Amino acid sequence: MATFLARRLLWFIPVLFVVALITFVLMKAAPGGPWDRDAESKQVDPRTMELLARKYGLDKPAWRQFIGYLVGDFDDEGQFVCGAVCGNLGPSYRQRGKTVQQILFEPPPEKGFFDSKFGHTARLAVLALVIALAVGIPAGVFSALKQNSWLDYALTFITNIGIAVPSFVVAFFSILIFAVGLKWMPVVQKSWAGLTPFIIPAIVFGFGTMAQTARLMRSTMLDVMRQDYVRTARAKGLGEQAVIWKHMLRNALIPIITTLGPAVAGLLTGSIVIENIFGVPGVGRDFIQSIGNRDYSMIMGTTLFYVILILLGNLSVDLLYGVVDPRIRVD
Amino acid sequence: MAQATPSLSRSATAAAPAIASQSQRQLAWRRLRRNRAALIGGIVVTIYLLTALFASSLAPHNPIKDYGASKAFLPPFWQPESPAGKTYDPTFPLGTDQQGRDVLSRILYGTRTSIVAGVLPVTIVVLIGTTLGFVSGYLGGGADNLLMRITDIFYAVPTELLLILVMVTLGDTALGKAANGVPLFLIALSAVSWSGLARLMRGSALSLKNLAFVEAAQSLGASDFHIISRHILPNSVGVLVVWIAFAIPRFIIAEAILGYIGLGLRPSLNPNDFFITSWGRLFLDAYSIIGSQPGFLLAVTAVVSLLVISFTFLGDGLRDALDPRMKK
Amino acid sequence: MSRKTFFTMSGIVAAASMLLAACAQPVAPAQPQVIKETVEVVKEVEKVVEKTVVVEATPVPAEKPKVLRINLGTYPDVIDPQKSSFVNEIAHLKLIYEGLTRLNEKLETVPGAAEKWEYNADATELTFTLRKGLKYSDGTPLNAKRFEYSIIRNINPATAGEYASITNEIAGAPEWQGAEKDEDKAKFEEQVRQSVQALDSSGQPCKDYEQEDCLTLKLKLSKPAPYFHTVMSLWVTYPAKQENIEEGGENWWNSSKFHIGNGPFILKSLEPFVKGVFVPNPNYWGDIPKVSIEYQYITDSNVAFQAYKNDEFDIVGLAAEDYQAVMADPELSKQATIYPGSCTLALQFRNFKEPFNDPKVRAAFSYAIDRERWVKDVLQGLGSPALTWIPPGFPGYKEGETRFAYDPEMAKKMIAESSYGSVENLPTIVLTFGDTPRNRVRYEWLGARFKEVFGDALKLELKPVEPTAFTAKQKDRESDLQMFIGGWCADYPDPQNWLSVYFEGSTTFADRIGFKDEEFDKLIAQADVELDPAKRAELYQKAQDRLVDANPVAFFWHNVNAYMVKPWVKGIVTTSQDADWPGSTVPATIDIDTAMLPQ
Repeated sequence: MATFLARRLLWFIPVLFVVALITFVLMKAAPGGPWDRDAESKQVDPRTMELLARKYGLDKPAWRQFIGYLVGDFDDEGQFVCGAVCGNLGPSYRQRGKTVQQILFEPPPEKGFFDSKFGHTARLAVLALVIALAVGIPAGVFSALKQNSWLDYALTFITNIGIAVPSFVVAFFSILIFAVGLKWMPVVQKSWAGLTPFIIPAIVFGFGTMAQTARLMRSTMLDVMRQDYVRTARAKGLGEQAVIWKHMLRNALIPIITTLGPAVAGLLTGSIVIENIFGVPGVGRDFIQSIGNRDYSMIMGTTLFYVILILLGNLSVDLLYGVVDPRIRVD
Repeated sequence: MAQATPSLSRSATAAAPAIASQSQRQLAWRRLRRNRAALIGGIVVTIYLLTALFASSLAPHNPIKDYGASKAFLPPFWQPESPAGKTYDPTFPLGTDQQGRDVLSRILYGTRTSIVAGVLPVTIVVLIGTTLGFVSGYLGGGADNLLMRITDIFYAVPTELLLILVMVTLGDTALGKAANGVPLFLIALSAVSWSGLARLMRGSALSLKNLAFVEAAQSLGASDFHIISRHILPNSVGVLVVWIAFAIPRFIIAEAILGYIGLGLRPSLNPNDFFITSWGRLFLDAYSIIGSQPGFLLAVTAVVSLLVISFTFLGDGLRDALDPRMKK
Repeated sequence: MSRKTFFTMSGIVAAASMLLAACAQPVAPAQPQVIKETVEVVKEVEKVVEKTVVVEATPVPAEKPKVLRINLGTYPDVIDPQKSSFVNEIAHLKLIYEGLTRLNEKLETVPGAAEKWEYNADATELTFTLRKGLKYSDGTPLNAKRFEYSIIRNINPATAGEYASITNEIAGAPEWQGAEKDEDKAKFEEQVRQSVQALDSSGQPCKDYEQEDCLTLKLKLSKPAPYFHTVMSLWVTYPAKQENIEEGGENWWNSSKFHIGNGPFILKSLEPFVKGVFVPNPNYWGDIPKVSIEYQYITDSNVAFQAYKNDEFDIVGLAAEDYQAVMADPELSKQATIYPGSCTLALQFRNFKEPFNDPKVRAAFSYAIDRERWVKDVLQGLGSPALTWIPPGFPGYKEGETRFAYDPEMAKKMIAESSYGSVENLPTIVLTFGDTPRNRVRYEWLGARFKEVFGDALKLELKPVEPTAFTAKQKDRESDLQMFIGGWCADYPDPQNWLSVYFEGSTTFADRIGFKDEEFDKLIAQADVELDPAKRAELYQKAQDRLVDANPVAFFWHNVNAYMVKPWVKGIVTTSQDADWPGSTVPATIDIDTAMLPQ
């Protein structure tokens, strides 16, 4: 297991490299640069663009920019500045004076890590996952136990809303219902301290995951319910409750556990729409804007960070697959 | 975007060998017919497909014809007056948008693009994903490792990033300009999505390959191809079908959300274009005028939800029908 | 209950609940009537009881803080006077700081930190005299050397400010920025330092930032520029403190601690992407504002509008899509605040590309635009048709221009008279635009109208391009653009900023569309250096007339600014330059009637 883990972690490096390369190539190939603004604004004049390009090293050949970003390069004074491998994700082209790692992880003065941009996204994502599981798992179980009953159909219907309706629609309607209608929260939050402001956004955000969890739980429960060992347990005279808890649930939960990793990774990297609508000051909003802005460092840095999250999520699936199902030997 | 991952098909763990295909198909069909929800789902999906094909005959108006500001923001039939102060006009059963274009006609035409947006990438993804996944899972070893790392790379690149950059960079090429930009979008979408299914199918192959009947087939000298196609594939169908039933609506919705961010199909001036508009586009348009004509958003949501639910019922029914161990 | 019935019913229930939610209106408080009654009661009491201390007929509410809550939209990338360039960034800066001059409600340039200014005989030297006793918000003195620092910092190529070139009239500025060799850099830096000098009353250079007798700022310009005092009102000159910038480093602007300014407000706190709070600055020399200001940064306009309706914002932007609904509502329609903007949009042609190298083809398309209908149908009335470049409200605006107004017959006639002879002979024309949801709708409309005028024989294609890529295409002369909509928003209210900066033959803009007209350039060259205001205005007028004649672009529409403002916000005075929120140019006039605030 240890060698397996080590080897998989080692594989991160080439994967990161290839992703960085693809991103870099596509990013540079895309027409337009960091100082091409929205067509109706005044444009930066050519000489200033030259000065800025030089300041950010855009006048160097592409391969050197790429290696420089990943490993490091010498600055104007001949000092070596370490690159991504040291955790330096580069200076932002738009938010002048800040590095990408500052933008992502540095909280405002006198505040903790969870007040940084990524901290907000993390709070949102984790809360969304917790709610999704807390609602999805029981929903799936009941759905399976009462298969084809009205409860099953009702739950199916509700979970389908989570998948069929785009998140910005669900988000907006939830604002109408909870903020305007019920007045449980303001439409626009004044502060994002603690967990309370995140509750409604997390419910909306987790809706899709909740739906998928419920469906998955339902189908694995149904599978498990049909197993021979369940019949055996019943035949042995075990009470229905015991049968449910001891045998069915535990086995049905296994596939769910394997989805946790990718689910968290997906939530952490997919929060753009929710952040935009609810005004959460997280990473997602910035990321999409940075693509349009051609903020090269921001794009590369955030992508690399996202990739690491996703790879870790994937790795957890493989690890758990091997652990929970002894018939699968992953090596 | 969180991807649905698999349920390991535990039904395959029993020692029952695969039954001859002929009677299995008959059994499956019979079981499907008995599942009323699935049948309804199937009928609804078919209706949508026909609508997509015959939109031009069904739509009461030209979807790109705007009737001007006087006919803008008309409410749908269940609302006598829209918030913009306009009253219902029976020639526009679902009302109009801000340009005075008929919502019903636009939805009908949008079905085309969205069905294609659901089906085409899924087909590509299934072909690539199952092939790579089975091969990877069954063969194991070095081939598995390499294929999985390639999968990792595609899985890891953030979807929006790749899509935006691909659309921006290739948008001016011949491929990008073809058919309102739809094929490029769908190919790009497939490229970022196949890895999830590949992992799923790999998992299935992994859990199946160590089973008795596979060993039996191997000892009889069956080729890898034979084993994969005759034993692994049929026993993975349940999982695959469930995945497809969720993937199609997921792609349809993805088109909507990516539109919100800023990617879209090219607008059309020619009513004879095939892909005039899409549900994703309509979601956006409807969302932007929600204060003046909320019925628009409601209509689009209802139409899309109905299709998704139908797919789900159909998918469930297929899964139940195809499960070789189903006793009921 | 069968599955089908259940399904149908739940569908209806879900639909109904969504519908109800969509139609949900916040309960309108019936306050105004209550307040009226209260006032009347107090009056009666005062009449009857003469000598007694005022009896409280109603409990006196606690003094409500007056906070103007505004949704600004996107959060700024950088809030540094010498590096900022976007409207939202300037919206922060102009509250905290003030320039040597400023604009008043009529968009006239009036004294700001400087109490007077003087040009020399040929407008190549501009001397400002600062007010005595100016202070920063922390009480420390502000003298001319501060402005010397900030103006030079703007020009300094090391700063690489994105709007640096706006002060390029200062002698040595463009040369310093363009210098490659070290000795050139040093030489031109020295020249700039000679061109921007803070002097004491005896004409000697000031010593430091504490020197009280340092009230003169002398600027040397490379050519006569009688409009330069207006340029000095812009944010690039704002006197941020050198020691704060150095202490805070590259990132100094992100903290309210380092933003010590001389403007009407103090930046009390800044929570990035969440909230910015500004309170009145008691050390400001002019009218102290009566309200505090709070900015928030919601980018989804539907959400912002809901928050407004829920009384969480006092000012939000009004989107064109919501305009009709607002006007249909008796309460909301009174809160719509619409005033002319500072931008003109034009349908631009690449004059060096077929078929637009033929002036008749350009004229044809100008005649083919139904501007009135565009404003009515597409902009929902939020805009005005444009037949000139300078918009209404700006000095140099010409009223009553009629050339190239909508005339489909003339449009067809122009094509017939052109070198192509007929619509069939025209090559395919591609109308390119930045791909946003709003634009798609607009360009579909426009394309449909052109087809109506010219017939189906017109080969017209719509081409949406990712917005940044679109900008890049505009800048690249070799790109495939033929026809596209582009515009200009004024930096400062002077015809020079419209005509010379945009259309003079050597400018980048003119180069990109391929416009070079000798007569126009001559008029502009004369006007730019003309000192007599009347003559100057006349020359610019002639230049604009010449521009309309030459028709390198088809002027299309002038924008308006549209906002929703709560009824308890009083005293807003709007100007066309208020692109961020209404009243932002003269915020001291704004007041809030706390009696009208909802409980």
